[in-house]
Amino acid sequence: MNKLHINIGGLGLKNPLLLASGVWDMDSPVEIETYGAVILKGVNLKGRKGNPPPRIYDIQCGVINSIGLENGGVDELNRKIEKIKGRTKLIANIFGSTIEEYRDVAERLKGIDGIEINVSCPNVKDSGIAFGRSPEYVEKITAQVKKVSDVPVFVKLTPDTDRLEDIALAAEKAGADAVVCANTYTGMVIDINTGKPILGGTTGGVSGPCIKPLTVYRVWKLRKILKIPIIASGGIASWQDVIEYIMAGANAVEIGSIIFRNLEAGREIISGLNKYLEEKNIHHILDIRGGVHDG
Amino acid sequence: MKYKRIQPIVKQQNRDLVKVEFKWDGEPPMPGQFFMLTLERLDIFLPRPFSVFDFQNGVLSFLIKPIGRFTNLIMNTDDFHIMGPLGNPAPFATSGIFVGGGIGVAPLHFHAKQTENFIFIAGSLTDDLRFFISDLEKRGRVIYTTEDGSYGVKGLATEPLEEILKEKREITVFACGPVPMLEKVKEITGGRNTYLYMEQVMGCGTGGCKGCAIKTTDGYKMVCSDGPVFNAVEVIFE
Ligand SMILES: Cc1cc2nc3c(=O)[nH]c(=O)nc-3n(C[C@H](O)[C@H](O)[C@H](O)COP(=O)(O)OP(=O)(O)OC[C@H]3O[C@@H](n4cnc5c(N)ncnc54)[C@H](O)[C@@H]3O)c2cc1C
Ligand SMILES: Cc1cc2nc3c(=O)[nH]c(=O)nc-3n(C[C@H](O)[C@H](O)[C@H](O)COP(=O)(O)O)c2cc1C
Ligand code: FES
Repeated sequence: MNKLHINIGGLGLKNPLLLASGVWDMDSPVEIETYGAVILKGVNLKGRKGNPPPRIYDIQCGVINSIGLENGGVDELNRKIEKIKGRTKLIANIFGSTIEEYRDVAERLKGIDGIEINVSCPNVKDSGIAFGRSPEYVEKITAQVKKVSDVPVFVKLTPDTDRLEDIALAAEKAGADAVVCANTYTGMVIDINTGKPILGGTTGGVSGPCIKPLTVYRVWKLRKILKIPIIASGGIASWQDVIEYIMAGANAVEIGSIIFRNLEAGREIISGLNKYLEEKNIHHILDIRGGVHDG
Repeated sequence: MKYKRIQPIVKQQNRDLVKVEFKWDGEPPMPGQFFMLTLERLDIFLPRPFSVFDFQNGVLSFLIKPIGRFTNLIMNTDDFHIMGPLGNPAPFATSGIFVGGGIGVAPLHFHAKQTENFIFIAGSLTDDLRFFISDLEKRGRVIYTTEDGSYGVKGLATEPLEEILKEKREITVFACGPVPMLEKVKEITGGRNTYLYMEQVMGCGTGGCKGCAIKTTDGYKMVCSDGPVFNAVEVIFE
């Protein structure tokens, strides 16, 4: 039996390592075949031009970005998907400024294996995180998307809320096949010479190794209350980080920022996981899942 | 495009500039292209883009000005990841005027070396640049300018450009340097036959993250995948 093969909400994946949304685009040279699935860049109905530059900045042990969900809309995405179909499982990351837009995007998507509902982008004012902080909206959006989709639906949560559990439970109640915990944390960097924000979008989303303990905590907290699977996303840089998330309760993980600095991070993580399971004589990766209790 | 972990074979510092060289058996770079360099240490997370300063006999060189966290560590580090060549080759021209401001001469050096006839204007504060680019003097005309006249011609790099253009109206101009200099170049040429090497902070360097946007007449474009060399007519300065 394959030690890494997993199944999430009916979606069979060759391994639990997913490429997170927003770090890869169709032509960029990442070996997407390495990953159990690839989550495509955020897409809405008609597209979006993105935030003013600068859009990305190095912080110690991580990144802050305010890309602003630049994309060419769902019809353009459908055409692009045609070209990469079959390389690995493809999951669309969808957003909108109304509940109906989420539904319409989901309905129009073609050739994908799953949908990740993005209700957690900190970089756009009229959609995303405002919905993601409300259990009621998350429930409505999830239910609408579920209604029109024949593929598994995941809900990507914002970590920036004190109602994380309520929101995750709302997604579960509305039929989500998994939750993704979590998107980036809202942050800010200031140019001390001018006293102005460095990012063109003023604030941004913080990702990379510096956020890992914050998100491990949230995964661990959600594990106690959710029945549906959890896909972890936040600061993974090595196979050890993947093990940590699975021990906290994740069923699968996404890697994002790390591939900026290491194009082969995916392959290195998979081989590290295989070696670990072999050496420890563990039958399947999820055998170690959620084994962490209060200390 | 190739990605590998690698140690430099040469590191050389002359006052304010550092030259780093790697053995490179990947695809040979073209003028205009750049590489992403990453430090093995995680606390400087993002890779940084550097243009090709030279490539000959399988040796790839970068000329770097230390200005911040990454660039100040180069002399103390040997563990790099390097990825490239990235970006689009610059438009081809058999003859051209190159206008470089400060470290902006780095990509133009490689570009000029592959151009049959060139005039190279290198503007800086001191005579630092000459140490690294004097090999160009054998191949074409090189004009050095300093603002205070301490070396070469006194004044800005754009001043000789204005003079030369009075005679050679049809020649292609390539410029790289600080934004005010690029704006001035565009003003002088009216954007005609003018190509600008643009800079922006990058994430992936490969068109994946939409991080390196600049404003153009055609909306936002990415320095890494649409550039880094842009037709001056389309660039909108902020
Ligand atoms: C296509 C391309 C090609 C390039 N080619 C070359 C090349 O050939 N040679 C070369 O030398 N450079 C080149 N550059 C520029 C180079 O990439 C940058 O100099 C480099 O990324 C700087 O990294 P750093 O970590 O040293 O600076 P950082 O630490 O990132 O800082 C950059 C600047 O911002 C300042 N700064 C940082 N944080 C703050 C703050 N909070 N408040 C105020 N100021 C702050 C720093 O002091 C510094 O001056 C190129 C860039 C591009 C886009
Ligand atoms: C440049 C960039 C762009 C991103 N774009 C999206 C996006 O379009 N949709 C989304 O849901 N998340 C987006 N994210 C968040 C990532 O998918 C991921 O959840 C987050 O970065 C945390 O993981 P990491 O620390 O491994 O990067 C983006 C992150 C970065 C750094
Ligand atoms: S740096 Fe990622 S798109 Fe240019």
